[in-house]
Amino acid sequence: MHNFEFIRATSVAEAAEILRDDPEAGLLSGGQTLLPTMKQRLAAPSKLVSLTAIEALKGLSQEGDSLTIGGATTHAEVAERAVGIFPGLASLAGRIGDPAVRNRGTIGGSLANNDPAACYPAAALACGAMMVTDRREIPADDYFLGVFETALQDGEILTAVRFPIPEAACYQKFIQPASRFSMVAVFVARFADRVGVAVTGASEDGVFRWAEGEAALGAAFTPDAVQGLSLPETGMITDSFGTGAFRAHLIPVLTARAVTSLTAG
Amino acid sequence: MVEKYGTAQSPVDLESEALVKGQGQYTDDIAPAGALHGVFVRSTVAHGIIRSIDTAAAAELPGVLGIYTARDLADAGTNPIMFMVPLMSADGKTPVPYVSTPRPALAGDRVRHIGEAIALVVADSAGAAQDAADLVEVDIEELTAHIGTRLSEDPVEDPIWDEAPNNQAYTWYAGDQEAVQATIAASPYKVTLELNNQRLAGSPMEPRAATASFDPESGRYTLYAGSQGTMFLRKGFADALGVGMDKVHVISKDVGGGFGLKVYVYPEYVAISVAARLLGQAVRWTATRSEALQADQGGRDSHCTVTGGFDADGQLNALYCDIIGNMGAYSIGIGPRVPSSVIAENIVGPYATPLIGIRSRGVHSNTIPTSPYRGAGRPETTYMLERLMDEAAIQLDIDRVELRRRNLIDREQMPFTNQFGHVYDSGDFAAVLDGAMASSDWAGFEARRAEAATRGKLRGIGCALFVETAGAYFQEPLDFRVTEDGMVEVRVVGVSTGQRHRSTITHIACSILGIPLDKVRYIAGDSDDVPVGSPTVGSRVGQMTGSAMHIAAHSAIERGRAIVGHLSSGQPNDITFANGVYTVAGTGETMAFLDLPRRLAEARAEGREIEETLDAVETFQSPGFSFPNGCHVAEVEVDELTGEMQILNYTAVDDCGNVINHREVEAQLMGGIAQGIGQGIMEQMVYDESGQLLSGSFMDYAMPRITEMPQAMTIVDLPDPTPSNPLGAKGVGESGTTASVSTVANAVADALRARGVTNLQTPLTASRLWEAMRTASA
Ligand SMILES: Cc1cc2nc3c(=O)[nH]c(=O)nc-3n(C[C@H](O)[C@H](O)[C@H](O)COP(=O)(O)OP(=O)(O)OC[C@H]3O[C@@H](n4cnc5c(N)ncnc54)[C@H](O)[C@@H]3O)c2cc1C
Repeated sequence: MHNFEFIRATSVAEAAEILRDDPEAGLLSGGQTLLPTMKQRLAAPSKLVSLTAIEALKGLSQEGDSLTIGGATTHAEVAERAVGIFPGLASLAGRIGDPAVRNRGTIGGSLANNDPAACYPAAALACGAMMVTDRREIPADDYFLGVFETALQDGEILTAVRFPIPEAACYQKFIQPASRFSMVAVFVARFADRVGVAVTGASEDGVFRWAEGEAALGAAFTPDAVQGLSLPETGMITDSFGTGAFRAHLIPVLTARAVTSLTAG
Repeated sequence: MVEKYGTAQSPVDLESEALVKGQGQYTDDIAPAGALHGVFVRSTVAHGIIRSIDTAAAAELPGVLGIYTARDLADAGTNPIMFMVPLMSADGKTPVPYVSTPRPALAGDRVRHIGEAIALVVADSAGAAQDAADLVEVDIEELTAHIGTRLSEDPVEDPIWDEAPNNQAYTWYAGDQEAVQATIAASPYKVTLELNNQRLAGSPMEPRAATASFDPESGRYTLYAGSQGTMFLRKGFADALGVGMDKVHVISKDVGGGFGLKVYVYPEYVAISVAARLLGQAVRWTATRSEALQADQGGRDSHCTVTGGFDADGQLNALYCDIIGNMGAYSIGIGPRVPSSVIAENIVGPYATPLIGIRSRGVHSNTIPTSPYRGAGRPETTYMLERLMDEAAIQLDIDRVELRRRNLIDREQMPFTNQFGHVYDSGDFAAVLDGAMASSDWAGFEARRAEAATRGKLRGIGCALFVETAGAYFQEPLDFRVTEDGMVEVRVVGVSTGQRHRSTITHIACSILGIPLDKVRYIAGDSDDVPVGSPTVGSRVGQMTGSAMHIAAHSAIERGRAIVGHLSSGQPNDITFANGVYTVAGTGETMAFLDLPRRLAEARAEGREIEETLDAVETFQSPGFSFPNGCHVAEVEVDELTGEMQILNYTAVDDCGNVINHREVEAQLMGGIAQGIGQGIMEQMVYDESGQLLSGSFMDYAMPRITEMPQAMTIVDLPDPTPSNPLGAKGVGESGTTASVSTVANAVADALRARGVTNLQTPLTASRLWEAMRTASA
């Protein structure tokens, strides 16, 4: 790891100002992605501005049908605190990495990083969450731009995520056996008027909404509705853990599993 | 007489507590204060010519004390590391030629694999060394990279070694090739399988680390480095430094896993030693996990075509194995022996096959050198035999267990001299087979299969029988002493890398000597302080060092009897020994074994001349290998839709000879089985065609975890003691791995057979299983 200056910001404004003044400065949230990258010397920010002491960025709050989660809220906290509000999201958070990763890693870090195999992006996209930054609000559909790419501009801080709370939701994660990130994972969110289905891990372009699956489940929320559907394998990731064809195949299978678990009993 | 160890007593474990409490002394823990830090600049190109190395910018960073390249090492008189153990013909009589591959400690004009060390940066902190290493600029002209375990008949572009225009390292034969081929051709059934043993990374929990220093007065190098025993390392280390063995001192303290990769000298050890000498200060280095994946020797990596000629009644008439072994860029350690002579030592297995032939060819590639990895040729051999048996059973339409039974070597045939001259002195292969069938409820399997089908699961069961060689290097010394403060001191060669040798050896000593466990000082790992012997390899320490301990303890009791004779009024044959105490018949006078050195000293101080001492170096000489054997059964379920696989039950019935400590046997088997499962279902080193390592961290190299382990494991000892050593013990360190790769693969193949799947290659990932089902049904 290269040397860097460490600054623990106490307000979003302070953090934003440091970033504005020094283009080489970077944000540090849970560090579960950034620190390994720095250890491998693939990133070398001059300054790291830590967000985790900013109280305004932490915690969950429910207002009617929506759940707002502060950008620096850890996975562990979401896993614990969202159980009664949005159990599908709590379950997703509880399966990210291992306890150490969940106790440090944050939702803001995950969504800002937009790893093509990360879990939260699927939930945010399936639900149509609103990304709240220090500058504006960005709907999920406009936020995820590709692998490790988001609509965030330089120095823009993701302060919160506002999820519309679905009636029911389920995250089906087929793990990549080495990293235990998702090899393919599907988040199914059922709302009164629509069904959201988003897929992570599978596509070379990162997280995406599976429109055909959404339409089919919108018409009939049954496993059979998606079981017969198929996705093209072109554009799907092929690596030593699975072929593109396998990943494409898993999408309807996992979607059906999610629906089964939401409709059973 | 064989002592009854442990079985009824509580298991002896003198080591684990300190290690799990963080009180161990691993190499990185014992680096002296003030030691300088070394960081290596490694090749990012798989194959190329080094045009220039620019260290100027790096040298200017504060804290940097030295930057070394191949030229500096040459100036310091170092030699390349050479392949140490000759490759011998199958009869062990003539050396077989192989391509000479001098391996520089730092690459000079050529790089041959990703991760090869090119320069060493030494600084007063690890951070400074790392920062400087980033600034070292290496200009490499890329050559065609050669990846993959295949052999071209024709010369290739940019061969790795000029001597080998098609990258072929060696050709090695065993058995009567023509007779085998003719018999196979004449057999009514000919069954052929292609089997790939993918490249694995040893991945010990403790990465390699070393601290080197040099004493100008004595001209001696001291190297602290984790090893499986310092002896082989020390030899290669001295040769590479260009000094005599007396000028190197190698010390291994606690070692967190070896699996075969901590036996020989590594380039890094040589480079930091030279730097320590030139700088006059100790230099330390600890590998990161990424470095471990790039620079620890690799395991497996062979491609086998196995063919059996069978009679209609299932008799295996002849067996032919055609093997290509991937040596990586250099032949190191015993690398070339793994896919050749080790196969021949093990290929007979439990079967009375009349004719066996092997052709083994080594190929060089632009990858890390390969060398033994737990099992080292044994799992590969079992894989050939046991996959073949299952495949033949299908083709001949004979029950797979029955087919094996018809070919087994009978207990009555012991001692059985096999085709390659090894003598099985014991082993009841039908008994382990029967035992495994019973313990696994093999007979009741079809009902379980039918039930699983109702849940959309393809359930399969598989077994593998094996006989393997254990004990490599047939001589083992042990230095036995008793000190005046009443402590037994035992000096041995084989370092424990997690096997709790100290517990096992102490247990043997105390059982024979009748003394408490805390009266034994166990000393291993310091090349100045232990006798010359062999490291912890080839499942040898229990039987070899254990037998040496047995002999040493018994002979010490006899010497003690003579000493008591001198010190008392008794005659040696009036003196009995029990529970650590000698009793003189008649007088009833008693003397404790542990008191004798003190009493001797007192007697000598009074002027008595007594020559005897309790101390001696005893050497156990084994007549040859021992032959651990067993039968393992696995039961698996595969999800029809996703290829996800779960191992439900795993049964191991093993004859590792007399059991010294069941818990230790169980621990070795479980660990070995876990490693075999890793190979079977997930582990895989992946290089792309340009030689870049795609599995360069644990995010991409799939280590097995508890979630992949069988839901239930049954481990049964079924000993048929070997007469080849006084303990009657065979080896057990590798058995689990030897059996489990095949056992799991056979179970999965059985599960998928209903879907018409015939060709499966490890690692059996979900994707592969799904693709296999899809292809078969298409
Ligand atoms: C062993 C391991 C296993 C893992 N398994 C999973 C898994 O199964 N699923 C999964 O989804 N993830 C997994 N992760 C990743 C983990 O969830 C990370 O915590 C997460 O991806 C990044 O969050 P962080 O808070 O640690 O961010 P950091 O590492 O601190 O930052 C990541 C990036 O985001 C930027 N950033 C951080 N916060 C903000 C913000 N508020 N606004 C703008 N930019 C910001 C940083 O500057 C940096 O570039 C795993 C990680 C590890 C180490």
